[in-house]
Amino acid sequence: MSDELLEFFKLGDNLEPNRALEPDDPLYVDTAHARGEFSFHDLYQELGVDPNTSRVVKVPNRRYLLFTGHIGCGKSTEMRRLQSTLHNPDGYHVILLDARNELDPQNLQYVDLLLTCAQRLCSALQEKQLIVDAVYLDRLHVWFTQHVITRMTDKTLSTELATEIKAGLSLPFISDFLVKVTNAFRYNASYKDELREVVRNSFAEFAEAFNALIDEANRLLQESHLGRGLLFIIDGTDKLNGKDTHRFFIEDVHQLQQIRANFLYGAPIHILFETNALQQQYSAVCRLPMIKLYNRDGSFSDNDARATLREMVLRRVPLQWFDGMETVDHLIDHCGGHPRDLVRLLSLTWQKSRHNRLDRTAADKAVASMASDFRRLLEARDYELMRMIDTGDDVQPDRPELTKLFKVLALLEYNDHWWRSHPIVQTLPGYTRHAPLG
Amino acid sequence: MPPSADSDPLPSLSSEHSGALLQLDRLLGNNPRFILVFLEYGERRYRDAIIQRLAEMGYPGKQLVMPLDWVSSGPVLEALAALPPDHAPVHILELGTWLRLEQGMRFCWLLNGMRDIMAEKAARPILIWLSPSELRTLALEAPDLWSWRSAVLTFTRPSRPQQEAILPPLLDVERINLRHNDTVQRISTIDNHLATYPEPSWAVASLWKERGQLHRQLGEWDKALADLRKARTLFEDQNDPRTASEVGILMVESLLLRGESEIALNLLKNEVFTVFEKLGDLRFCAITMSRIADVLQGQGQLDEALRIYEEQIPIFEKIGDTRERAIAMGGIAHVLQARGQLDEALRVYRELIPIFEKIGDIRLRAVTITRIVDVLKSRGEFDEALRAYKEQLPVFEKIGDLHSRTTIMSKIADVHKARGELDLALRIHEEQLPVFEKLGDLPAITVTKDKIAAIRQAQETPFWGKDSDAPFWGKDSDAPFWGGR
Repeated sequence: MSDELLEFFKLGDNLEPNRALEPDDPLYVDTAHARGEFSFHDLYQELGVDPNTSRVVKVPNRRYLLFTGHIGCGKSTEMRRLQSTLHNPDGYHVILLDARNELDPQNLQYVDLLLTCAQRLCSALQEKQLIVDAVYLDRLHVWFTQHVITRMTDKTLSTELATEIKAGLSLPFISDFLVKVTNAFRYNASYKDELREVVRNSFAEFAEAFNALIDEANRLLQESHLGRGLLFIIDGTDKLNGKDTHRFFIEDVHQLQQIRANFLYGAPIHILFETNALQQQYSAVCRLPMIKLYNRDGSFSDNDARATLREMVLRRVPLQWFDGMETVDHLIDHCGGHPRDLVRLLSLTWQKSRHNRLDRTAADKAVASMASDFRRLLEARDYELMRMIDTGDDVQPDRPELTKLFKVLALLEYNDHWWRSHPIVQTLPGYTRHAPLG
Repeated sequence: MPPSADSDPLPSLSSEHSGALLQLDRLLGNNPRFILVFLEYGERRYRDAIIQRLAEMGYPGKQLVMPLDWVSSGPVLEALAALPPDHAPVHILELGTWLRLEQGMRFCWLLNGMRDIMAEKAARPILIWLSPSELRTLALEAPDLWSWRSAVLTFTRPSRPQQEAILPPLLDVERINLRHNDTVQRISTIDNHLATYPEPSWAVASLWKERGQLHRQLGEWDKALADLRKARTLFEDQNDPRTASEVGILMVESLLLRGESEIALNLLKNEVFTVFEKLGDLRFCAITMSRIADVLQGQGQLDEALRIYEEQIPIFEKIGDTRERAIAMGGIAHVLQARGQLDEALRVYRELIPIFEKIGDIRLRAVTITRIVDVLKSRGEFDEALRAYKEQLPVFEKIGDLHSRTTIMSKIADVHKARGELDLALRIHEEQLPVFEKLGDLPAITVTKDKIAAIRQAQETPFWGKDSDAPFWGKDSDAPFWGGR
């Protein structure tokens, strides 16, 4: 294999649509400024953070925040960046919990999550070698003894836990105990249901016990210059199944908010259309919009979106591999400002290119390939609805079809909450058939 | 070796797929890593041929067939962990079988939620093979997983690539409640297609099956039966006994309406069940048994029918087939109703309504409500029954089920008769008779003629025959639970 061919093949390494980037990854490009007027300012204000210094000016009294956006728009990346920015001695002590790795996202309820938060807090305190006075652990200890162990009918686990709890009242023991319980949540379906019921039935007591630990943790962290307050960032809760999503974010919201700490939850964008009350139930909803290439009226956006997207492309595939910048821009014009779709288009162009060059022919094939993906999923009424939205007709925000269109990314949201169909959808005959007459 | 049901050589690859193979070669040939590729296929043997070709190209893949218990993360992780320490691609096969069941949805959600873990545990390409409709289901139910795709490649091909244009069948028609005009239009489209491309093929057989189901939806039983017979023969000719037997099950309803219950029983017991048993298809064995119970129930063998229904319930629960479980439960309620255990029957029927609502089966929901109203009618609650029957009429009209609509009109006439409104009852029955004749429902024709005669006689004499004077098979309980009668 020639050197050039080998290099060309290696480009594929940078073109995986599934790869989430850490902020220090050479491929990472900061896109915040390219998303229109979007900024983290509102989020920082809710959390009492000075956006210039990332220092906490005033620790708020519990905030429950939602962080939403389209699938693949960069939520996880931005949540990790928030963690990295806010986690400092003058900022927050951030505990980032990824529900996909630490819980069972296929079957997740508030009980599972909050117990895991408690476990992660204990681990964090242990890691920092902070000594928590037994008095702040006592309530958790009592709650475990009185409820979890005595009320469980499954004696195998309860005996194991009873042995554990008798060993002593200290942070390591409570922590180990919580690890056992949360592991049972994750790996053991029969324990899970029983444990959930036990916790649900005595949740008020658990919440108070956990709150006692949180209060003391806040004090210890501040005293040790490890952060001025606790912030839990929960990623992965945007990946729950439909039923669990509704239950978690809407039905069980009051349970989630019995815990006295600041929480930022990743949430799927379509949850916003399921109830009008969501804005009232959460302290704030931060929507990460698509990168905005065009304004609502079709004029070019005055931000540097194109430059940002070009940078995103060229960090992955240097210009020498393209037949020209026009092909790069052609892909950008068809990605809808969606970073993952841009990477996918880039990957498809690479897959379909011949003669070791990403040219316009391959780019057109990539666009056609993605159009085919959309055509598999969309129906006539979907095109009709998107056409109405694109032409500025009023559409009731609670229409059930919207959930599907957002899920499959056929409809995209830009800043100021305006929507537009994906540019590739607009190339499909089903869409053009619904063009207004005249 | 790819899984293959027989020892015939695999089909040769079509040149139109060389581009997709090249694309796949580029994806797989890059450094070994996790990538997700969806592959669309129509025929198992052709899929196996592609897998074999990939192996010849230097990508010998491990094949994982979806077992039923892959609905929690444990077995999935175990299976991934048990893979050999290489970076060979993994072909995930037969996922589509479960997508049609409740477990399938759960599996989609599982994949959706644990895509990161898959990526971490399987540093290798994951190739998921699905039919076009299954692909659509997966994309909608697991949108996060879908958004990770590196490519969707198509390996479908027409069964007669030289000449035959494929008219895509409407999959799973029995769950699609087409409007009457749409149904007629679809039949016309199929007819035009079959007139142009009559050569026997799997696709043509599917269209005959669909045509039969559409006629069934219109209540045109004779035509439905003829179409289904044709489809069954064609599937058998295509060496597809499984689908031929599935069609056999669909034929039972029409046979019962023609009063040919012995033929139906023989078909189910000696032909259909034997095939599924041989294939080891637990689900279809249970469905066939459930249909046998329907026939027995119609013949008045209530105890035997009840026993069979009850035996199938745990099987449907085990495999998570909510719809078939509910149909079997409906059968049980129907037997209870026939035995006069009305309270118990009502309780079961009422439990079924939210289940049919949940799975979106408008027709079976309406049939269940009709059964409840039948009980009310037999208890003499005529006003309530009349109101409730009338409420169901637009439902059947909307889905174009002429037969069920006509049956309900007949029931309405029965209520009028019971209230002494003989003229009205007579007029309705007389209006419905030609419809039953057009539909070819022989038992209903006989019953309606008897009822008309009884009313005319009653108009001349001071008393009239009660509803229970009708022959046994003319009562509300003689048709299968899922039938409109």
